[in-house]
Amino acid sequence: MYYYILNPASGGGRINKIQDRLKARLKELGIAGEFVKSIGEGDVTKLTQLGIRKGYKTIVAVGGTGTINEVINGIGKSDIAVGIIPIGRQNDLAHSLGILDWQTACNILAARKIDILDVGRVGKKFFITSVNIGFGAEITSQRPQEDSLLHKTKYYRHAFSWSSKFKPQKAILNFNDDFIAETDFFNIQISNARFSENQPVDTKSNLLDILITGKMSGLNSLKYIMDPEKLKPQKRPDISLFRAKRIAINTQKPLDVAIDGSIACKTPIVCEISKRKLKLIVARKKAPAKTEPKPKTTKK
Amino acid sequence: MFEKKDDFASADNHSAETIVGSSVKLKGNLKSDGDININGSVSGDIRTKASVQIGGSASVVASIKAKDVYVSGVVQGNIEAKDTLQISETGKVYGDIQAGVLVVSPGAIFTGKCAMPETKKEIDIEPLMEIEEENPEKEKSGKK
Repeated sequence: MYYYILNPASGGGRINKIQDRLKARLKELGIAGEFVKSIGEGDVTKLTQLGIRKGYKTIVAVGGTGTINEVINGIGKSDIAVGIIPIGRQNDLAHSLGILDWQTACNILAARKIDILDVGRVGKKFFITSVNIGFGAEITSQRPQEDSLLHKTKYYRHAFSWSSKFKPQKAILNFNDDFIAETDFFNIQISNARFSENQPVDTKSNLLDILITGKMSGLNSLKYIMDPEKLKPQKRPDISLFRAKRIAINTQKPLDVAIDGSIACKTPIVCEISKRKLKLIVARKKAPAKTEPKPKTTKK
Repeated sequence: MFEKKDDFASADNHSAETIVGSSVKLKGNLKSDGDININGSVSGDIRTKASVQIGGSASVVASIKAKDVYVSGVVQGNIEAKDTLQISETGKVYGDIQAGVLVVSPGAIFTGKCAMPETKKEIDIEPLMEIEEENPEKEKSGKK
């Protein structure tokens, strides 16, 4: 039996429009279960803990990356599997795992292929995608609450203007106690997965990927805001890339730290790969298409 | 005439596992299993099973041990390249080097000792031809 935690705030309230169709589809697939709705911040974590106490072995986060993050932080040491139905504004994790929309997600849940993924940790807070300090955290706090074109336009205009005023900050980073780096930065992103166009997402490397971005032009800042993947690290000399199991970050003054898309704390922080792993229901990898032999045609 | 000069750090960045950007100052032991590209400042030790590229703007005070090393910036320290060491026209190396293959471009600066280990080969040297010297006095006495 499945325990579905719905976040009504995700995607600007999109769940309200699709809820009935979603429940019908899950019933068709034979994976209907108990549905609960969160009512405020931190509620998803409490509901996760409630679902575990009730004995459910699969908890499904119906929302965005923030909802998934709250589920992960509610699991504790239990051995349950987590599923995702993406309906939030931020669906980076779901999309990177091949879970493109709620319809695909239902089929993936029914297929129930489980993968074991790394989980990162900042203090007592766990994360599954990334941690941002600097410009990335600043725009996270300014993200529009609604998904409309007007709100998005205002957001991008504000972020573009803000990026040109943002002054690089100073940071000292200690990697695994092996070496120390001192730098001025525009953004520091610590990720649980390797972000490279030419390489597949790797969330089982047992290593964090650290991307440090220097000051960018207004145009590159806009590209970064709209899609961080568009800013190619390989061609810019003021970008640094490291891999480490553990990193301690200290900044000249306390800065906001965004964890999986939400501001969670301030620097200084210690970020590391947790010993805890996550059992996640993911898409099956597509087998290579078999080319069937063409039927022979006899000439008349 | 106006072709862009070789800058190793800006080439082949797509495969680098570690990139030290131009605004970074790094101290300590930098170890990796993959390629390392350095455009900033590094002091300490650099070790990898793959390649190290020192960009034109990089300043390295470290010993380097890698499969291949490409230098376009400044290195103060010893370099041990299992396969290839290339010093470009803007590269400066102050230290001892050891490499299987060494390529030094015109304009490069290198101050130190160089060792290029190779397997010993036996070289056959043909013996010199013996030439009998003619003794003019003997010939004269012989003729008489």
